[in-house]
Amino acid sequence: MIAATARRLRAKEVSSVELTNECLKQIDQLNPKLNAFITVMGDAARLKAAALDKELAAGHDRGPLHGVPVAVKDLFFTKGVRTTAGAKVFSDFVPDFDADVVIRLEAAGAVIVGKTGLHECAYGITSNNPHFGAVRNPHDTDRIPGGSSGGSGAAVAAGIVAMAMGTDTGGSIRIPASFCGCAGLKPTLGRVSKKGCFPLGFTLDHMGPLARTVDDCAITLAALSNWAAPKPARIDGLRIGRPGNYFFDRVDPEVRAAVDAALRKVEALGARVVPIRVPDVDELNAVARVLLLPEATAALESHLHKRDQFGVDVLALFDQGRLVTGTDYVQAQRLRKIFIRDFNRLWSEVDCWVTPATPTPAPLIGQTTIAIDGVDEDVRLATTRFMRGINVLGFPALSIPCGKSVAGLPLGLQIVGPAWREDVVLRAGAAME
Amino acid sequence: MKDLKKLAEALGVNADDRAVAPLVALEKVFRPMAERLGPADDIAVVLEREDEA
Repeated sequence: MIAATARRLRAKEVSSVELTNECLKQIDQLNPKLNAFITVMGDAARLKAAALDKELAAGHDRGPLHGVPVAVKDLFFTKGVRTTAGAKVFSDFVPDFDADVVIRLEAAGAVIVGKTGLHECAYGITSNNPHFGAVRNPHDTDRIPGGSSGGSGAAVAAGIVAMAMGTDTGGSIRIPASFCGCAGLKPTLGRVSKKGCFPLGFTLDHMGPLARTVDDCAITLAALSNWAAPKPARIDGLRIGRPGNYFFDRVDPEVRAAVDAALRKVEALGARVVPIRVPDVDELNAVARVLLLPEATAALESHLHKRDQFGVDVLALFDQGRLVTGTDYVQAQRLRKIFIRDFNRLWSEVDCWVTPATPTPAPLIGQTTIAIDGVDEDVRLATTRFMRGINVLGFPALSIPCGKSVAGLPLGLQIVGPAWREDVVLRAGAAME
Repeated sequence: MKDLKKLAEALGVNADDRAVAPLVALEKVFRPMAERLGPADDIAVVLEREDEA
């Protein structure tokens, strides 16, 4: 989509000002229903678009994002523009500098039209925000878009922007991608600068795009980092792992069938689907939680005495963070190294592996438990259990749509690759989408 | 995460089931792993890459 828009801009079929105005019009029409945006930057976006049109006319081409309207999660600092983190305690916070992600996007010529809604402090998966209202799923507005980057998922899925930035500490890019039916890339840990983004998990936070296509994720990653997109490659001979344990054990049958259908598709294109066994993911997820709880509490500690300014769900997590001892946090970091070593052994068998992204389609707003294969689970823990551990490993992971449920809700799959090999997950994703 | 209720009370944070119960479940998975750690098990120290600075 971004590449096609870039071609239209260069062919003078459309201008950045026209694209931006259309985008702002859609926000006016759809945001009352979806609540995808907390702040709209209309005037600044129009001025920026006009300047970018002039640049392009003068022959200064910044690349495929030049003149393309995008959005960023309201977790990224924007100089002079309110940045709330979806939290009441930051509702009047106006940064005096831009996040590195914002600097990179603007240097690439993107037009930032607004700041998207999120779960409070990016600490949850519903985006049902007690201070800024619930973000709603464009496919069914009674359902959550996922989170924490729910506004970004909703804005992309509704067709308002081609790309919206998210952050991912335990699935917060990939979950909204799965529930909203778009692509979401969590790059390798450290690939994209975190500077100027509110922290949640200091050693678990990743920054990445939600977009309509895998190619749009690749274009965005190239703008955000020093990663260079390789030339498109066929997937003949690509070894794709299908875990025989954990990831397909307790899953909505529609999700399982959709992921397996996608695997059959790439097999027909020449990839080899290889059965694998992964190390204990319940244990890996436990490590993830022991790491995140105190990191998140540390990140917000100076504000936590204002208890009445936090939602009940995030406050319970911040309290839990105080109950994890320093000793256990260190043990979790030591265990992390063992898990990275054990999971790295898989790369001798396969080039990437594929799992369901979320075990179910999007739950209803306000739903707290969900039945999967006859077992009632907490919605937050169920939704994150295929993703949370990947943040501990730091591997790149891509969520892409793989069909719809009978009820018409998007279903997603996740592709996980070796550290620094975003090219592999994007290549597999492009073949599967 | 031992004696969680006592710790919660000592720290003056919420000690009700909503805060403590999930940690009791977490403890059951985490503790056996932590006890398996040996002296050779170190922390991975990662230096920031240039583009992270």
